[in-house]
Amino acid sequence: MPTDQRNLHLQLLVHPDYTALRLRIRAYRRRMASVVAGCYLVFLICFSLFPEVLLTPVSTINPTPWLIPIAVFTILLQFLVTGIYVKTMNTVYDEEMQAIRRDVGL
Amino acid sequence: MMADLNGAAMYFLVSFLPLILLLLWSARRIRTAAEFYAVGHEYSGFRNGLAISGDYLSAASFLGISGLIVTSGYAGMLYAVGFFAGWPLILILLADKLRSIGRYTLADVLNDRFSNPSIVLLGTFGYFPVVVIYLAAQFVAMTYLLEYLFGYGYDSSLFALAALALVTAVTGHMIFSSRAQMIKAVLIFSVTLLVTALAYFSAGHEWPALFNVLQVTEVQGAGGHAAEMSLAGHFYLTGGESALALLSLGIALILGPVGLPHIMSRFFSVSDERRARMSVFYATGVIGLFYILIIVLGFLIIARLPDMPPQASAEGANLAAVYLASVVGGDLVAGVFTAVLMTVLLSVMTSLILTGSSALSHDWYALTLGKTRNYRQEQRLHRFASTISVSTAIVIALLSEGQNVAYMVGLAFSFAASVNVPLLLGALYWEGLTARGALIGGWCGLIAATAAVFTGPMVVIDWFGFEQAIFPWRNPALFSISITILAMWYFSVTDQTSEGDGREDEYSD
Repeated sequence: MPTDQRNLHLQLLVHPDYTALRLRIRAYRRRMASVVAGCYLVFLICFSLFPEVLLTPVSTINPTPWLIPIAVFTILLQFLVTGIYVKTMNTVYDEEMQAIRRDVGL
Repeated sequence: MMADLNGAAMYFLVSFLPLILLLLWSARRIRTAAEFYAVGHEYSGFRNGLAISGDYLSAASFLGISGLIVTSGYAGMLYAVGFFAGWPLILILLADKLRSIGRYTLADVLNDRFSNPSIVLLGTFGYFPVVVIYLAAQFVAMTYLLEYLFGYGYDSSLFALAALALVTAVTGHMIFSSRAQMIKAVLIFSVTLLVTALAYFSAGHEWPALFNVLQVTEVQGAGGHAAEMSLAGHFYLTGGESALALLSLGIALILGPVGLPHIMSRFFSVSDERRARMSVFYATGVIGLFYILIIVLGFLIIARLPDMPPQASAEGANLAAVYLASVVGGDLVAGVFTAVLMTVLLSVMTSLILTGSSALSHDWYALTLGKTRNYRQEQRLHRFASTISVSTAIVIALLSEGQNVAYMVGLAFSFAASVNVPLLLGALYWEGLTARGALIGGWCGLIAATAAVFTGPMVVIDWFGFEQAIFPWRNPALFSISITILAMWYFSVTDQTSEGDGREDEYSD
């Protein structure tokens, strides 16, 4: 890395907004990872410990057990969380990071 | 019930050759990491997303999960949900983080964080059972397909594949590119959709009746696999496993993929982060839809094939989807379907052989020896590691006749979850982890997982025919991960040396 670039990069690392943004991104990642893992754990615990609940039919007319919509919902929810994560990272945090980089001249 | 084997085999041969030629034409022969990371730069988010799906979608999982739903009922669904749930975690916990520190493999991260060759070697050893069992699952699936098509015995078909795999191990390059992976994704998704649609519309099913397996079983009465299905509703939900065993399996399924960061490699092969994330979003949609299709297909097999061929259960139900294809689409659909599956399986096999052996020859040897490395020696080590991986996988496949391949993939994931995941996440997110804690914890997890498998039901009951196993669970992840984490924590907090205080700050966010 050329010396000028290295200096600018060092300026970026000590920029107060950059440090704050890194902390916010870290918290956001952990939050989203918790949502993904939490949804799956709820599904897994119901599946393992309360199987009879999941075997209950959705209604008297519809004999499909609750397990089927819950499993499909879990997959769709993971997809939704991925979408929210990608959109937030691409539109909110990337924009803020670019603004800080412009601020230090990178 | 079964298709005319010669007819299906003929359509298979006619379809298989162009498919292989198509993949070879679309692929580039990749020799270096630099070449690999350069191949995807020109692709859009959607196209790169399709390529990522091609990396992740596995014909072995597909055959195995649909078969498990047939033999173990709803328990098979845990595999579909679990295999998918690991995917967003990889994106959130690993992808951006690895990209920001510029490290792409487990060995890279461990070497960068600890600069300790013993830990990198541990990562390589942790990767070995994952690759070997995953490879064995591909062998089992391909062997059954060959047996179905050409009528050779299990052993003969396996030895034919073994010869092919050993040639690949000694001479092969990674035939691998974004375009080839895109084609692979489109092929496997299309044939799955086709067979599902044919099965659904040809019988005029209604959704509620389709998913009520117990009701369907009562209508069909006893006989064939239906007798097994009607044992009890509880069996049908749990597959006969205890609650803790299911928890253990479920944890292996979600964490296993996180221990295989190389499956995100295409995330790094596009030039900017936004496009990379968008491609993962598209990939997630394709993969999610694929797993939902597998669930539907599993229940369609139960509804359409009340009298499964007698050998289906002994085959681990791995061919249930193929039997369905032959019933609803005849020889033509069965032949094309098996040709696509075989193409995908072969592609995964070559990738596994080469990436697995490069974990030793490149990641460990090159990273630890640095400038003193010798290219010819590295090549010899690569061939040696490939041959050992393939030979071990063949022995496992030989002993695993009748095993369901999704179960085998789950077992491979339990090793990844027990060793690679704690090491990787610990190195990336835990400032207090020391080299001593990582090393001892990782070895403890690897030994615990290995011991649990060798004293567990697969080896003791299925391989050697004893009535009861010493370790009760088929998937040991919960047990071995707990040991890894406890050992990592204890040997880190009691570590009085300064070793491992290298790069925690850079890894702290």
